Amino acid sequence: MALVLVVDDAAFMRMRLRKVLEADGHEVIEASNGHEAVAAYDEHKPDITLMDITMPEMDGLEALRVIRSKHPDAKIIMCSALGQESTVIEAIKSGAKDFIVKPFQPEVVTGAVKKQVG
Amino acid sequence: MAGFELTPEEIKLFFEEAVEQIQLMEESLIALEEEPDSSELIQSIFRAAHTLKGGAATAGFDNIARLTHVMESLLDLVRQGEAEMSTELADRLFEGVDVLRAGLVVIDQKGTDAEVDVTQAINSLTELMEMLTAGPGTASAGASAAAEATKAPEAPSADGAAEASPAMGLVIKIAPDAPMPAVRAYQALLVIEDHTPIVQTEPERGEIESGASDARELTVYVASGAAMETIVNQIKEIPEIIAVEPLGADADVAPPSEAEDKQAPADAPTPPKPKPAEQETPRSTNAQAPAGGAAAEQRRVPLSGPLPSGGSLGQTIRVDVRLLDTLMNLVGELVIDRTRLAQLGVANMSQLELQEELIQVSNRLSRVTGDLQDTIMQARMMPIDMLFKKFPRMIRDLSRQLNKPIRFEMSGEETELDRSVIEQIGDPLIHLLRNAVDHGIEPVEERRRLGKSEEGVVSLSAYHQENHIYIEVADDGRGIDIEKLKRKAIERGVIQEDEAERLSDMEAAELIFAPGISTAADVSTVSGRGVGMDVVKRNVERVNGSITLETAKGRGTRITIKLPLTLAILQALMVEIVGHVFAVPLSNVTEVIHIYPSDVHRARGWEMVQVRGEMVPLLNPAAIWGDAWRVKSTDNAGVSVVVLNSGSSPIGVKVDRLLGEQEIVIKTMGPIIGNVPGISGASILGDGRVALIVDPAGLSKAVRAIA
Repeated sequence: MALVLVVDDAAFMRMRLRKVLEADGHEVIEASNGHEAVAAYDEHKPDITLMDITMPEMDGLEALRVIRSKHPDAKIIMCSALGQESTVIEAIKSGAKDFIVKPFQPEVVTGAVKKQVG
Repeated sequence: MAGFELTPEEIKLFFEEAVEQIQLMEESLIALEEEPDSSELIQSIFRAAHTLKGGAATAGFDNIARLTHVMESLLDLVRQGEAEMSTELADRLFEGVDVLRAGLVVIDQKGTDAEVDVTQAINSLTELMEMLTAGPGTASAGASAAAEATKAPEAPSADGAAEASPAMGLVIKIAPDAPMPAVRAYQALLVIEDHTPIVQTEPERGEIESGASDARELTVYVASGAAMETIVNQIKEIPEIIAVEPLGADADVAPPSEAEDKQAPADAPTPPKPKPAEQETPRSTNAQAPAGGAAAEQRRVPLSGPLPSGGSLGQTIRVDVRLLDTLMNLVGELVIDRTRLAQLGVANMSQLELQEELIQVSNRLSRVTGDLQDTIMQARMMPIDMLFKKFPRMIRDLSRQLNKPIRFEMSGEETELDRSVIEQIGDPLIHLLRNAVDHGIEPVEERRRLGKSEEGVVSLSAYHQENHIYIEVADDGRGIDIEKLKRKAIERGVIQEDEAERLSDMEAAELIFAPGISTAADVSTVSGRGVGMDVVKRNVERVNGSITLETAKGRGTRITIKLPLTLAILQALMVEIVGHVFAVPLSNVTEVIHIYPSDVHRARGWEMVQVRGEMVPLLNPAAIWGDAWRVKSTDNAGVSVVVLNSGSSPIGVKVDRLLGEQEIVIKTMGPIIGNVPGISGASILGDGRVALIVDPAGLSKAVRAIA
């Protein structure tokens, strides 16, 4: 179906998301911070990126901006948590296509991805 | 939801990461007290709390999620510069960390965090947060009050709306279970703005952009209704937007008034969408941003079953994958040997051939199992950091409790020890450190009177020397009162009076390890309850260690625990001396130089070489081990010299060749070979050769004996 880049500093979250996405027929690659995400994006050009916001090294917002500046058509969905409304709005301003809120419902994750893949 | 329950591996991963995050929070909090302005540290604690929150919520550990959420909110205040780091704040965060850690234990046992009592910690944190945000003009972090502080960006007045007449409007409804309605509202605004200027919004744009708006209905007045159909279709594309209703260009769209507010819902009734409570699957109902950051009703993910038996906390270790590969290879070789043995049983061979074959197989087996043993031991080695890292927090708490400012210094955290040894020495170290703070370091007034710095120094260090691991606990406190100790020992019948007089101070100090002796005049709550130094000594001896003590009245006490290294791994520089491989402990190597005969000076019969301005005696191994071990140097090629630091003065040892760095497993030499000066043990290399381990301290001792 789609190649999905999952970016999160917690291996636990990456494992959860991978499971949900793979069960829905997607292929998943992972990155554990913003730097890795940018590199992985350059290399693999994923169809969709699920981007955590709070991460060490480079946070999700910055990674979003870097990726979008290099690849203006990048489809990035922010993974946020309650209380991060203003950051999510920043992300939307910077070109994020959508967002999901932790804790994730599997069908919300797959639905959000499906919506972007079309 | 079937198929998405947490698997035991996922729970394990959550645990491992949770433990790491909690540790990170604690370490950063301690470091933060040293440099309270470090935004990096605050960021790191914030991030750890945030990551833990996300994981806990996903795993369905709601209490943990709630607590971390409040901690995160409080840290956010600090991060945004709205609150300053204080001891009070640190205390409450530490309290939170403790509850989290205890919570993990409960989860480990029960598989749920329902019984974890987070209420008190949450209340305590919330209370502090309210105090911090109570000041006038301060906006509360992440809560809805933020909106008031945010300037509404040029929100057009009613006049503007009138001017832009005929106004057009839209009512946009957001799903009742959408977690961040403000963001959806903002997305809708972006779509509208692509086509036509926005005249006015309800709720106000500023409130939406700050993320604070909870409204699930958005009314937007626009300048022109030309592209209305496109706008409506595009907005419907936005997730969680359940209805978009244009307001007609007629009487309905009067400039916003009270009547409008009442009318709108009637015009566009909420579509029949099941309320969260009625849905089969419990859903997130975080409609309201949790006020004060506290309560959040969250769904729970059912656990697929009980946690792996035996408990995963503290009972798991991370092992290098390469180590596992080595183990797998070795097991593979065992399987080959097993097959070979099985074939021997049915092979058609003469007795002699059979014997030879058996000898071969058995040799191979003993090599493979030996390697297997070494590898498994390696897997058991852990840096002593595992133990050390909990001490800064302990010292901090003691220091606060006893009101004694303490500077705590640690070194050698990377020193590796067998897991079982580490487990055994934990309690003795706790006891010694507590003693140091409680009995060793004097109260501030006393230190001031004595002209000492007010801050007491307690240090903990681990190092590796002469085939042993040493752990030192030292303080710069009052030292042990030898006379008082002697009197007590006599009183308790440990020694006779005449014996006491013959004891040297050093010997007398060791009396403290005798059962039933404690120098503290009164038993305090911090240390000295029941367990005495005799228990500490017994625990150390149980792992074949020994304990010694030096003390100087008024200047402090140093206690040294010496632990055997039979299992330890050594990072070594491998060198060749006369065709044989030697391992030099890397921690003792200062540098390696290459010298020519012209570099060598002579003083008092010794060859010396200048290293960084210092004269270092040169040692040819032949001087200690006999002429067969002479390293020859030629005028042209020169010779390599390994500069060792051991104790006070460095020495340079000539070697034939440098082979590189390697990790080796130390084996003792055993009684047959006996004591060879300058050699502490041996190791077997991958190719089966034996490498002797050089003991720098022994070498310098031997050098001193000759010189």
